[in-house]
Amino acid sequence: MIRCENLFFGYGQGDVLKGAQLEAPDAAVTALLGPNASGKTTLLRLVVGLHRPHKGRIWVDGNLSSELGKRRAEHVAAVMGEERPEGIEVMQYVIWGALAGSGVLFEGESEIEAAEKALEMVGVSHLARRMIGALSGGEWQRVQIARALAQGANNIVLDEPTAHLDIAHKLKLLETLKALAQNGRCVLLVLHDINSACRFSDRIAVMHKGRIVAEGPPADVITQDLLKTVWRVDAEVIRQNGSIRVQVRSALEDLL
Amino acid sequence: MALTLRRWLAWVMLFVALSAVGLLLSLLIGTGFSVSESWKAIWGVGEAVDVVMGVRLERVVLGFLAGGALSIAGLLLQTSLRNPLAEPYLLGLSSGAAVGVTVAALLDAALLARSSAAFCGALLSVAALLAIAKRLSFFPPAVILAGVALNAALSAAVLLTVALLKTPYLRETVYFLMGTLRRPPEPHWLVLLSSGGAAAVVFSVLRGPALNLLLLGDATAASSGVNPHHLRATAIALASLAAAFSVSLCGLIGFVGLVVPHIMRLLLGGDVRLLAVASFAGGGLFLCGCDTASRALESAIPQLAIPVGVLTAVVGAPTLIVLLLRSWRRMR
Repeated sequence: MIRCENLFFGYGQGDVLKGAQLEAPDAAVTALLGPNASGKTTLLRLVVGLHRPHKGRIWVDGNLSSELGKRRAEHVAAVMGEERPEGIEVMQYVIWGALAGSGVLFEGESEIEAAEKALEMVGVSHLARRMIGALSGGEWQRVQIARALAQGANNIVLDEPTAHLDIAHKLKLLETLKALAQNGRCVLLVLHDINSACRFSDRIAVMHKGRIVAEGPPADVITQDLLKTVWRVDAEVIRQNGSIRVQVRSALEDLL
Repeated sequence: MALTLRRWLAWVMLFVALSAVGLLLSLLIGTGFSVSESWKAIWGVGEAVDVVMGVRLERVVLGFLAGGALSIAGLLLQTSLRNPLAEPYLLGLSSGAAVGVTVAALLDAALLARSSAAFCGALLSVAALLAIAKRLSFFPPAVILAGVALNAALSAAVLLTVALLKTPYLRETVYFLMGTLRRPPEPHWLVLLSSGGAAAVVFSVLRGPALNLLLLGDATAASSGVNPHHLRATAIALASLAAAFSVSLCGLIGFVGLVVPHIMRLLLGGDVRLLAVASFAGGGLFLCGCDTASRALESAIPQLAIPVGVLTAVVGAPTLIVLLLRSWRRMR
């Protein structure tokens, strides 16, 4: 479980985050939505420990994030748009994740088993002997998730995991993440596609100008007014059999 | 493939064995004595004992340690800065050493002080780079650009001081700038050189899992409990120290720090825990091999004394290109 309290942070002049509050519970997919430059990726960077907030606190599984130190690997695993390492097999790459979790220098049977299990969970065991550089975009995203799973952390944080994926790969990936949440994990991810977020997430948090302006189940959060205020689009919210779908008509003129 | 402790130890044994064979071959080849005379000299027999077990042994050990130090420095910089072009020379370290040497010569300092002057110059340039890098939050592309700018400024200073040098020091300084193993170092410098290289190798192995994660990105490393800024700063400092000792003793031997880690990566994969040992042994053998070839050529044609720094580029560049082409075909 991840809880952010009143976070303030900026890279130089001015704050990017201006009092952001967020709660991502266990056994749920929480989608962080928002227009460009609203502070979504910055919030994730604080959650994974890359930066420290200027003000406010982050709790991970009941622990204060700033005090986690090397124990962070036991609690948070991240998929943040990684660079592909050269000359590395998929299996070895996933083992790196297991090593981060166990903290040992060389892999033993337990790390190899954890890597095999993680590859199996995301359905890419057949890629174990392939080189990372030879994977397609969809395969690479799933292998990164396997690396995060092998780490054994309860919370998985992903920054736009569906970027550059075709529809089929996108669906497959989101189904995998949903299954992980159903197994008890806390999945926090940044998405741009509102309809995918509505379909696959249990909770949605909408970020605007460094603050979370709406948070809760998708059906409660996504409204026509919110789409107009935050994304500056004229859109229709279609509610059908308990699910919702957004149909965008046009961007509002003041956006341009 | 998984890298268990047993498999890693097997690789280390292989590199130790290869290094021993390489060093032995380097001892056997040289000017003045045949291979069989040199072989007898190793066992303390014959006229060649003083040369083979004296000057030649010092040169071979110096070449191995200097090559290993440059190579492990290149690996650490390429890994921590996530840039395939990163190496000690690109970041201004060599130019700093060269400024130290040329300024010492300009001030009529004794040539014996050359290593100390070079070392001070290298350390000052690294200190400047680290100070700038700290203000840039150790952001890899910014650190590389800062290093390139520093290198350009220091290279200009070298050219200026060389232009002002008096004749007695000019030849010695130019040899230093080309890179040479001809001048045997004092024993304490060899100890410092081996300590610098060993520290970089030990750090790379012990922090190997963290360095592997740093290759993936700062956010991924941070989520695993690694402080990317501290790790990067330590890696740059240790790489610079190892390279500074090497440059101080052998001058500017280019290409080893750049090309050997790449060759090892193409042959063995990208795991830093294995690459650290492989790069050190490979760099040492590469420089030793180039120096042996240089001596063999000089033995055959006395007028042909090619500086070892030239040979490292002549051999290293085509080797890297061939390996790149082969791996590119395999990737596609």
